[in-house]
Amino acid sequence: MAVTRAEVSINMGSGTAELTISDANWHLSDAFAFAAGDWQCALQLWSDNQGTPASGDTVEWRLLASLGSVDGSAGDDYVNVDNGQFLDLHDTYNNDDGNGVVMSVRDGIRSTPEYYKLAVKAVNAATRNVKVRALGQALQGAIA
Amino acid sequence: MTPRQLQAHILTGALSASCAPHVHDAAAPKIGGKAARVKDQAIADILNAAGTLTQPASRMIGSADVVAALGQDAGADLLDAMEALGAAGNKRARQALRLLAANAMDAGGAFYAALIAALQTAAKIDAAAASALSALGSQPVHITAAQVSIALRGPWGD
Repeated sequence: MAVTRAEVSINMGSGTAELTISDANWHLSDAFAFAAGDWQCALQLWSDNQGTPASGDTVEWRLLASLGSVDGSAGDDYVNVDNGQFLDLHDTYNNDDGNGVVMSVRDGIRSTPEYYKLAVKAVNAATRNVKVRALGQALQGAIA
Repeated sequence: MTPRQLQAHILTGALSASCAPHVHDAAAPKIGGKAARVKDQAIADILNAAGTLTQPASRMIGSADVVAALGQDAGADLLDAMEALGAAGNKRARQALRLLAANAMDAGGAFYAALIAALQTAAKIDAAAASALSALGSQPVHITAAQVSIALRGPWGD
């Protein structure tokens, strides 16, 4: 099978692709997964400051993995946000893409965890809301 | 300097007219961070070039520093006036003279600031002298674009 590129949709909570953050709390995406045979998995992370940015208007992204239920309770158990894998810190004041939008790609995500969730936090979102989105991608198939 | 204090300097202070063309507050249409930084840096440059923003700085001074700040005659007159106040029972004046004699008066401290205010209220010094004495415990503040951005657009930490 030739190598193909597969997109992985990521909803940022409640089944919606876009989340508007208005507080300084961590927010979790819905669960998403890469297929077991996927390789070269990557995530694209997008942050859009809804106001003119000021110093400190950052958006932090972390990756929380789950291999299933580990504590014996119902449902899958995810790594705590504090222990999540740091992905990126978007600085919408110092590093914007023209209008307070910052995008980054994090490559080399493993496909072995059964599920993932993204955790995102915007420390100044109570002053200026931030919209966030994410998208996953993986390569599938074998190199001939 | 708090963000609100810096905001007041930018919007209503002596340099507000120079700063006005570069002010981009939260009510203005959204622009990107890079564009905003250019405006914020322009304001920071204006404030820093003027050198009028100061903050208290701890510095031990003595009677000689007071005389140097006010001039020989005015300085001597002030010290005489403080001695007279102390002789009349003014504890603050007596304490101030002890500290000045020991070169141990913190010109950036609250006691010194209150002393200057009291002397001005008692008409022992005028506004110019008060300003000269206050300057002994002040240092220029260097403003950055980051500080300007928070002063204009928050969060102000209120």
